[in-house]
Amino acid sequence: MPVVASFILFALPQYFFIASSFHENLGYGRIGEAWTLANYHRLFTDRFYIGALVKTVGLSAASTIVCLIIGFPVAYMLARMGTRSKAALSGLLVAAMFVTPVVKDLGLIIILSQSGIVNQTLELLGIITGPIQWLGAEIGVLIGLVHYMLPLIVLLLATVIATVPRSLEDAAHAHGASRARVYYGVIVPIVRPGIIAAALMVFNLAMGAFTTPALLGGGRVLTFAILIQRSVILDVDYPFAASLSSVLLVTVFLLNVLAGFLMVRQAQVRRGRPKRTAPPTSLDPAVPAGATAAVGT
Amino acid sequence: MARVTIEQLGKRFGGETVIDHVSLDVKEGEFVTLLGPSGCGKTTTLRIVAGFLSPDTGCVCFNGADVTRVPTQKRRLGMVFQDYALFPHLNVADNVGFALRASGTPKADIGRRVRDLLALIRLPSVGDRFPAELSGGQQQRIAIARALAHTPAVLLMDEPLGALDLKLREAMQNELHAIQRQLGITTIYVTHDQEEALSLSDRIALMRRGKIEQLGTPKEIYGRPATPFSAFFLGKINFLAGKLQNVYKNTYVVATERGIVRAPVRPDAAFTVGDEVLIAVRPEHLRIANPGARGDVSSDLVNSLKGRVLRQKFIGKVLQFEVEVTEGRTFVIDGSVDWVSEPGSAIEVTWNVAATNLYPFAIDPEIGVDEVRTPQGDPAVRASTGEGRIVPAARATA
Ligand SMILES: Nc1ncnc2c1ncn2[C@@H]1O[C@H](COP(=O)(O)OP(=O)(O)OP(=O)(O)O)[C@@H](O)[C@H]1O
Ligand SMILES: [Mg+2]
Repeated sequence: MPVVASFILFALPQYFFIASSFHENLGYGRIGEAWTLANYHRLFTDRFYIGALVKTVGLSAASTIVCLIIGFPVAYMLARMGTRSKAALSGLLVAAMFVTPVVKDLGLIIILSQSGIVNQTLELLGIITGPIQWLGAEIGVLIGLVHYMLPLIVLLLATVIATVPRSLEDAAHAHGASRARVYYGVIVPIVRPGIIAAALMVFNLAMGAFTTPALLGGGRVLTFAILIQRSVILDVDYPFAASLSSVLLVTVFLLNVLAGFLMVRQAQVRRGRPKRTAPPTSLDPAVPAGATAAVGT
Repeated sequence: MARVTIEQLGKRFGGETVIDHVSLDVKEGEFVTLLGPSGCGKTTTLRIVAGFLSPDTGCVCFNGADVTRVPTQKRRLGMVFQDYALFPHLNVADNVGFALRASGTPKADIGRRVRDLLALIRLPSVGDRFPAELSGGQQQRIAIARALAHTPAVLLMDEPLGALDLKLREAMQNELHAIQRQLGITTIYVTHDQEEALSLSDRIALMRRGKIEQLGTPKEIYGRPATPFSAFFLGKINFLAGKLQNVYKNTYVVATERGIVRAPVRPDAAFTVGDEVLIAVRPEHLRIANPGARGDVSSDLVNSLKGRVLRQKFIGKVLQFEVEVTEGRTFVIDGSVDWVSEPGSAIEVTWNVAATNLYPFAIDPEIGVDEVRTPQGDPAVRASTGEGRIVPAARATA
């Protein structure tokens, strides 16, 4: 039953839109009968669309990286907090996560505008002479995406970091590791799979984000989601919109598969050669401990 | 190798004093054990020495230099944790070589040292396995090897054998002892296992409620426990309350509910006639005699109390007798299997006066000393309920 239900819920609509991308647009929302690759031909031969795809991937990747850089230390602190402040902060983060991007972006539009507080402050500090054009540019969209996804990545990372026993950090410190070494030599490698999973989730969210590029991009940052919306609403070209969607879907899917593949590969490399069946070494009472090699210096 | 001195350490957690003026001087190469019941502050003390916690008062010195504010990673420590704390993402060789890599030792040297250490802990062939692929005892030994790799100035161990079964623990104790002796590393060891403490330590610091109750060699603490708690915590002990009646020929004469008990006068504890005292005697010093069977029972050198055998329990090397000396109070006696004393039979419990310890009486429910009634019958401390069983003779097992 659940299989059938999920099939009806998910696979069927996907099938219909993917199928419609292989038909001709007859205008006014009508779709031709014959199968054709014309939509894909148009998409892949137009520099504009390829550029938009690259830009979408680039923006998503950049915002994911910024999210990781800002989010990891925050998540670390959250994970190592006392229970009470941890509960309070997690609650706030969950709330922040569920604030609709429309509201979040509105706030950002106000503070990032020409005469907004960010430009004013920077000018006051003498860092810039004229206001920076945040809105209607990639940088604004990037800020918006990071702002939108940060609570999620912090929560995700905090959950995995909390699974690293404190005693591992203590052990590293006790044996001479500096703060940085504890971070990059112990915590990050241990939670790496969790980091990758969290990064993928955030990346996928960014790939499909519409509100933020629409509001902060001001119609000038054309990501794939925006192009899809345009071809549906403005051009009423459903087959082409469907082919854009299919390309987005397949791209996201392939990138995720690639990441998964690299992860498995890396784990294998780390393991070195495959596990041998080493004989279990037991405490052998025949060998007195004192008889073994001296290693004192 | 370093001499570790801690002076007047104090630590509070949220208004509760956890460490209270703890001072300890660990000589170079010495093996000192912090022993005590759960929650007495052993781990806290160790974590202060390691630098994970900073004390509210007092200081920690290595070789006379104050390191209280020196960060952990600069203290040249080796540390073994109760949960091993091996790095799951590193193989055994990288785990063992961790401290060496952190200090920038050349790769070839690390490799050699790791091989030597794995040989020392008798696990030469596990270098490229991961901790999850090892048994508990093997992980334990890897953790010890990791702590020794860089020849630390001080080795700290927090109940490192706690998770092992009895046989493995014994084997590891021997190994640990041999390795520590061989390398001569100053070691502070935490355990709440008294046998482990007795067999491994040069000295034991017996802790209770954040204070050091007694500091001494295992023999000193076991043979001459300074307080009833020391007697209770290390080994087994029988207590009996009484009142000092007389001092006679270097012997205290104590009146108990069931007769006179004598104890030697010792220079370190002076009592005056009329004091409430607590008599303590270890099970292995007690003997069972049939009433009137032997002439020396009532001599000045032997104490004797009438009693009735309640039950006998075979616990391996000894046959343990529980003997009721007065109503509701039992003594535990370590007897040998060839003693014949059927439950219910009336006997006499005897022991050498020299084996008797006396302490000032103080109520301490934790060690089984609740309340007392002097032999004359006037209650020193009134029981809130019932009247009968007031003077307890506690059996202490650790
Ligand atoms: N971070 C902390 N915050 C508050 N109280 C603490 C903290 N750490 C320890 N304590 C308290 O300090 C006391 C001593 O703890 P500690 O861990 O030193 O005991 P321990 O002797 O190691 O006991 P165990 O044998 O059970 O490990 C305990 O009462 C404990 O509740
Ligand atoms: Mg502890």
